[in-house]
Amino acid sequence: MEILEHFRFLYDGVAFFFTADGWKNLVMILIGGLLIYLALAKDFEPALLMPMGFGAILVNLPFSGAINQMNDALGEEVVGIVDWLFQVGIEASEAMPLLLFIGIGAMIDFGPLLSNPKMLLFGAAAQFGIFLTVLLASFFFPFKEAAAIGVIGAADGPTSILVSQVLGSDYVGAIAVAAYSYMALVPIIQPATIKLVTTKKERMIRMPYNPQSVSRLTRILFPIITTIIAGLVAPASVSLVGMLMFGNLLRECLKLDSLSQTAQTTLANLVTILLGLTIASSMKADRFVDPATLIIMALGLVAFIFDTIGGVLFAKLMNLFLPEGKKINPMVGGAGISAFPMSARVIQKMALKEDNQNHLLMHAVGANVAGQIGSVVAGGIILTVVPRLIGG
Amino acid sequence: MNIEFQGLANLGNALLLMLLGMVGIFVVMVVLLAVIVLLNKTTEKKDKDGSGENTPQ
Repeated sequence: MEILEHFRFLYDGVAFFFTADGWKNLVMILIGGLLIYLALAKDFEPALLMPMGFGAILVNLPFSGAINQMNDALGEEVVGIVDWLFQVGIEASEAMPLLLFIGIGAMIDFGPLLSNPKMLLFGAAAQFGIFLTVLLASFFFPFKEAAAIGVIGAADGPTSILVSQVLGSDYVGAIAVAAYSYMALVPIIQPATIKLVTTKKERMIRMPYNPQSVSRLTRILFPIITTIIAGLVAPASVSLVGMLMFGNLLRECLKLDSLSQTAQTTLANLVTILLGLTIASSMKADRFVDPATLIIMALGLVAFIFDTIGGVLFAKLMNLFLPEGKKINPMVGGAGISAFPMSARVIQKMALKEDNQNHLLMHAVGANVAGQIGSVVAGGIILTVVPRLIGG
Repeated sequence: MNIEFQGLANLGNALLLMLLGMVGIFVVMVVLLAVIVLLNKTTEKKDKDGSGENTPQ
């Protein structure tokens, strides 16, 4: 019998699934598989959900070497790569989401916004879902957690990860999964929501696109000035807005094409690969398999719906004061969420469905990139205000 | 982590965050809007002066 005991390692892993909490690990491995399926078969944010799904499998295999484990025989803790990446890349410095922002900033052309700057207002209005969700979440969770959950409404994965991590949320994994899942579901969520709060006549409003030219100087000054203004109002947003705008400055200065290309491709791809895997560190069964995760997923959906409603209703409000011929198609307001460029494409598709000569794409892109700014500013404001409110 | 119903304990903070958050975002966006309009106007003039700095969309 003693010799059999030596072979125990062969079945320890399988036996773990039959312990009291072992089923939770099994559920997480299935969730990992589901995320991979959604990413690869359904094209749901594959760049993020596939690494997250695979990471969920890595960290939930019993006694996984990918996470920190106490080795009783050696009497010391053996560091696992996924936990190490999380500690260094997210916990210690939030480096990964911030580095990803450099790449995102370098990818974004703010031209449509700069030539039609009133679209900025939709980037503000469409953050309403964040704060409504904080309000709803605050009935179920401590205030700090509620604020972290609300940021799902930023419709921006890196912002959601960063804010929830800085606030010390226990639900970083669930928040990241919700943010990326609903971003992938924007083509389903937004049309249904917009139809609920608009009439066919409103959806058919035409908006001619007559862009004014934007000087190179404006394009260069815009990221610098945005960083300074956002930083003065919400100092905690400096890292978020700063990295986004630094990336954009790389793009717009036209002197650093090689760096801009690297930020858009190599840097963004490298960080994306690692970020998905790393977030899986917060998807361990003991934290993730919890009724709270389901509530967070439901609240995330509420956040996306009310972001869209906030943007659409604000456009309708503006229309009360605009003369005939200058009215805004309220659907453009819905593009003020940060899910770029998916939301803009959804609005364009909806507009063409109502009237095949109504091209709203460039207006929607303007609102959409404004939403990118609005979401990071919202994240920064939450990071600035929440600690003060908690501290009394 | 178990959910604990918080009742109205956080309602005041949540409403205040909503107010401060939305006002804060709109302030940033309105200031940015004003700056962009100003920049567009001043650099447009430059272009009319023949500097050729303006780039088409």
